[in-house]
Amino acid sequence: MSSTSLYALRGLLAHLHATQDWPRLFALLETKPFLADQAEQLGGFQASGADLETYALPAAINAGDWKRFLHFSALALNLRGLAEDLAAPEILRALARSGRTSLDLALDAAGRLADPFRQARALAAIASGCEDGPARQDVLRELEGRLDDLAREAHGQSFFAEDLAVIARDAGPELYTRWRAWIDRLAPGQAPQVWRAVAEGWLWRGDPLAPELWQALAALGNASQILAFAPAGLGAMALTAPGEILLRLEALLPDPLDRQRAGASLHGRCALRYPERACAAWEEWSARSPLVWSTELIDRGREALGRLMPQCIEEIAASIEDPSIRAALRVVVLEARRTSEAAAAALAQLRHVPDGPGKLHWSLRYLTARPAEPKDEVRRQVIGVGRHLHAIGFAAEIGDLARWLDLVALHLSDQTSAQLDAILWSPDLTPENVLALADAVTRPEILDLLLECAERSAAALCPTEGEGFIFRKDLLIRATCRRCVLSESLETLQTIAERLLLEEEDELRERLAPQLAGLAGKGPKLADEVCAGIGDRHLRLVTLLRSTPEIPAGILAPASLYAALARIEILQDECHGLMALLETPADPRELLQRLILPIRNPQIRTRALLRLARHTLAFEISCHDRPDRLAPLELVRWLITTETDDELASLTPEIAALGAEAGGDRATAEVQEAARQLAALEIVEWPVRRDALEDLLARVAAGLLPAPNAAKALITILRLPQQLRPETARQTLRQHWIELLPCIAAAADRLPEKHLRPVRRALQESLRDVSQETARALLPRVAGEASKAEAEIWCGPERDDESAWIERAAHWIASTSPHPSDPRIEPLLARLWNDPESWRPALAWAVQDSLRRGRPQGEAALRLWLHAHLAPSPGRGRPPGLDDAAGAEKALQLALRLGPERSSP
Amino acid sequence: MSTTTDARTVRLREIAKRWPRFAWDYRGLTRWQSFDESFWTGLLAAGALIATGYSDLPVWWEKIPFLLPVLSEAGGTPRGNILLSVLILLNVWVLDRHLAAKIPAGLSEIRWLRAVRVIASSIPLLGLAVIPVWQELIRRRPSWAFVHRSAGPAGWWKRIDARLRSWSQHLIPQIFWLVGCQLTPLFSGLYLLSQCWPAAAMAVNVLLHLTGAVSAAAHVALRIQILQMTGRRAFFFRLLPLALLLPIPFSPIAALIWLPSAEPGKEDKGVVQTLYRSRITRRHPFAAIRGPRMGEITGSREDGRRRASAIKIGFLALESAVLAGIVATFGSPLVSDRNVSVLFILCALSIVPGAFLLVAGAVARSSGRWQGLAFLADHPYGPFLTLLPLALMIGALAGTLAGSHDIWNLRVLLIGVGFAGILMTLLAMMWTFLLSLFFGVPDRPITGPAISFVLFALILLLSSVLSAPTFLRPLSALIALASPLAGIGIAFCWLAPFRLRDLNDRRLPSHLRVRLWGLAVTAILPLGGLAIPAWIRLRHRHGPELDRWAALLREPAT
Repeated sequence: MSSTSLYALRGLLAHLHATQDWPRLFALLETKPFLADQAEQLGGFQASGADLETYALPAAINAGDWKRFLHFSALALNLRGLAEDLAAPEILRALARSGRTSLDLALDAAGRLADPFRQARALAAIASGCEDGPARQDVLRELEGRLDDLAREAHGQSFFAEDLAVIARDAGPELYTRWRAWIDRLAPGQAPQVWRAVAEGWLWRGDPLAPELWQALAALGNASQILAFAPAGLGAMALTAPGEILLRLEALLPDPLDRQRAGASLHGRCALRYPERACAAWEEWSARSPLVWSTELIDRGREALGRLMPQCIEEIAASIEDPSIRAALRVVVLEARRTSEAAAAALAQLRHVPDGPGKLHWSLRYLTARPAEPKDEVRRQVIGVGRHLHAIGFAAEIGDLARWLDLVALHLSDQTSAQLDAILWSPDLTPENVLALADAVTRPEILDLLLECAERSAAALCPTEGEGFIFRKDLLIRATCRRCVLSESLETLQTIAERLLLEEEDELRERLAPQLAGLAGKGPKLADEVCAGIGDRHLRLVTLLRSTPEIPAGILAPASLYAALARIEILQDECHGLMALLETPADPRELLQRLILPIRNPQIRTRALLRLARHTLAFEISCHDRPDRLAPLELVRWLITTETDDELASLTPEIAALGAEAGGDRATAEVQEAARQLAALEIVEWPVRRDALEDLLARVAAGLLPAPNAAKALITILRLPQQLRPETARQTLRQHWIELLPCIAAAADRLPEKHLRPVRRALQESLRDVSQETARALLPRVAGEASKAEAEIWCGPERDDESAWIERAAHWIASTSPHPSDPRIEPLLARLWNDPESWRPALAWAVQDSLRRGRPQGEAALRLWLHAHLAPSPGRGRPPGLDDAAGAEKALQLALRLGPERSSP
Repeated sequence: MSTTTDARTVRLREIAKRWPRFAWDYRGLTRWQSFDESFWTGLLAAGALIATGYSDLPVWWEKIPFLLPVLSEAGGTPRGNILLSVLILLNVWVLDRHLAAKIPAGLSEIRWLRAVRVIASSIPLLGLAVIPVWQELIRRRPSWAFVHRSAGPAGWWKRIDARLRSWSQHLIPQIFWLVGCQLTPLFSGLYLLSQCWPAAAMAVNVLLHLTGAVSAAAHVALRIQILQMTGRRAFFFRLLPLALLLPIPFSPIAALIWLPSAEPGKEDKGVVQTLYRSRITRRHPFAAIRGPRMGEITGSREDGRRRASAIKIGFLALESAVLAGIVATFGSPLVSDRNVSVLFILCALSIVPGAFLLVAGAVARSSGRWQGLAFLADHPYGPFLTLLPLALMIGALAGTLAGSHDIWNLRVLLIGVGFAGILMTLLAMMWTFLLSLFFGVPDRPITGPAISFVLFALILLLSSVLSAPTFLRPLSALIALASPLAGIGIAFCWLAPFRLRDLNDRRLPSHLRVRLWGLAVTAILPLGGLAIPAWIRLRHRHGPELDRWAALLREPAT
């Protein structure tokens, strides 16, 4: 591209802004692929984001063009969030692989990450994706510099060790000279995980003789950790001389038994690829150091042992005295040879094994490996093992249960369903075991039955319905993955997907695609098909990159990446919540079904439901002689969802206030119950409960209840330290009682003298236990911690100072980015809805300001701006506002693309 | 109301079809956890109330108790006795295996404890008390009750254990167990005792009364702790054990105390309390499957309509009784010996639609299958459609008997009707109690049973007055006067949120105005209760439209 074009891409928007040529500026963004060109030619989204924030947004605000403001804000928001989204290692690796332009894009994304640890991890992912060359060396140099900086500041932080371990797996071998220095900065006990990661990095390189690998293993030191991965990893390589490698490995293991374990594992793994070489090495090794036989040793070396010469096996068997170990040897030989002679020998030995889990395990392996003829004999043996399993209530290893089920499916197919049922309803089975069972079985019919009864199993195994629902999903996902991989088809996926929620189906596809991609033959094609069905665009891209090594270049072009990663769902949800308030709530259930229940974000939906309930209540009171106060309460009662107990605690004051609209004794009962439940909700941290209790008391002070009822409610609250159950909650409340007293006193102060007397008495009684010192501690709480500026915002404007106050409030919003679903922000929203014309520009500037601090802050501010833009009128509705809402939705849809498509030449 | 059919909704429906909702209670806990002491004491008290009602007749009133179809026919004959013994043994075995399965692995109960468990669980109904005691024992695991023991040898029962646990998650086998193994031995046993061993029957009757009172006392204490109860409700609720000591026909007072004071009346239960008790089930997206159907969530206006319908049906019974009484006085009774059976058949046929709505809805709600019928469960007016013809029939019969001075038969009729009403109320209460445990149905069980009570109490009152012919005319005049006056209130309730004067508002479309006028007129006129199905249809088809028009007529200035 010519330098003139580059100059235009860099400076055209600035020029149009300087000349205040708004129509041309807007046309450039809306009718031409300017932003896409900019990202492509300048190697990143930084310039596009900066241009939007600096020039396009002020232009839209100055022109008072709010639809365009929303469109550009959403674009800028997505560009801000793009760096976070692109930081997925799979995306970065794919970008690094796809040439210079994409590499620049990846580096740009890594450079824009705010967290230095994430930045380092992103650089490591880019380095691992790059081909060897100067570009890769540049990335590694940059990564080295970052890690040096981080190590200087780390001071033994645990997350640094975790980050280092991830980086070591990606770029460990390349930065070998630096690891010791970085690891030395870690706290004691953190080094092994990083050294292990470094060693794994070397193992993946496939060079068993690399001195750095052995240095890393030596630095790891811990024998059990070395045994966990090194022998198997080394055995999987193309070893020309396994004995030599084993000697090196043994030198790291002081315990002779550990050395034997390592040898058995290494030879066993080696035998999978090079059986002759492994057998020869085993014989040489066993001649060198006499082995202490155990079932564990036999199991580790089973692949090599099974392939030894018969004479050798006989010699080993003769040297073993323990019948269990002898039986294990015969079974592994049977597993390798599968002859009737081997089966007879194994059976003869198994007869001498004493009853117990060991006999069950080896018997099942024997049955799995033995020839299927004669059928009657096999069936009899399977039934015999089944009797034992029934007798012990299926309290066996999950692998053994899976083997048993496979055998039943093979030899007793008419009993498969009944036997699976018996296992599922056995008293000791746990949900985790069933999930492991789904991974371990190999017969499709067992998996089909497991899938069929997934929901019923949830009812049998999970103590709460919530846990059961999650278990159902996990079981369906794991069994479907296994079933599809076993059958190499997607038939089961189609049928099971209907039984999952959309996001759960995405999770299933995300797990299944890489597994299918690992299969030979039609696996990769199936993986592509699975990826294509993922609904979430971000997840689709990541899964595709994870399961398909060769990606078409178009997918990683900036415009395509933007389209895959742009998100407007939260803003749409906010819009829908506000649209419900713009309509007249004559039929609130219809509004709920049409607008509120489809909201995807749970917090926004809960907030929208509460606002709609208030809207309906206000409408009923203003519109009808005999308002139906119960209907909105019932909607809240049955439809509200809370993701966590913390959220429920925070919402409690507002829900109690809504419930109190019923009036009379019920209103008092709601407040009393809210206080009691909050005080007893021990699962939630005290500060969250304290804030909620303070909010509740503030509402009482503000006149939520008539004076006599407020007095009753306060007396009940004052008695909680004596009467609350359970005892532990009561003790906690007594400990922190001093923190609540100022709020109670403030609420009591507003009562008339007639009702104040009993409250004062209860207050005095509750103060009896409080010492003078503790009472003095009250003072800071009374004074409060909020700044003066913040206090001014909550107090509202003074007379003739409205516009200045709005400016201050907008500034506060820009600096703190409060969440619009936060119950505490509700009074500010009420002011904002009342005067949208003044608030809209002020908040628009706040959005521009917040965007500089990242996507979450910008998003929160833009959602608040939507409240000023759509400005509902509770209790009345504002039908003309529905046009604005439709316009806002259109503007948000436009933000899903970086700009118009390029016209074909 | 528009129904959203986006992909998400379709998926949710599909998942809901397969989801075993009844495996957990409305708080999202497994039944083993949620069926706590308050549940078992409540169940025992309710069971004892029914059983005492049955056994009081021979003990206190020296009447032969009537044979309940199936339930009390098992004993007496040699074949029946064998059947009874088999049922009792089956019950013992089922309960024993169920309880044994709850013992943690590696532990075993000592022999004498097992023997006590078997003997105690063999008593129908009262044996259920073993379950909470066993729950508590397993929670504490005292050393005197359990010893460490390895698994025993294989046995065929171990396989059946797994099958039993599987069946225990289905509603149908449980219903069979409840009817076959609990109710049949209980009623047959009581019948046999009253026939063969009167002294033993007396002792069992006293034992049942005491058990009922003790269970009720425990139930009251536990429930008051759990619930957000006002002082007045708590006071009445505390009278429950005393009511269970009373003999029939006074013991059903217990049901009257229980209903308004017990849990599921939603208007008395706070929003905060509901949210906290069911918070496990309120996690997204699971809550979308768990929650009640939109049609079931109603407000006070809908409650008013239901109450008004109940009152109108009560008046319909009175009006038909007065009419039949007047006709009978003049010598040509509406119901004669010849046409009484025809009347019965007609009434039986006329309650079919309502009964179908109730039963099919309940089945669809309870089972994972037949979801195509689930819409019937949303239909809120099943009880009214069932009760309307019943009220007419009973009113006509009672009026005819009173008018023809057949006092003896009138009394028999009214006692029978009263007892049936009590039984219906208790069954409805237990059904709703169970449903609310499983589904958290936002239903007001007071409405349905209250209709039965009001209806039968009114007729009881009427009969006593009608039995003295001199009161016939003033009473008829009173009913004729009260009916339209009450009808005005009923019309108000049904028209809400419209006012009467809105019916003349020209802005209201004429087709709606005509319908509303029809509703108002039939609500006010005597015998207008016959139009209740038409009112229901009007609300069902035009409800949202009517609400929107009501809002438009009174929209505040913006």
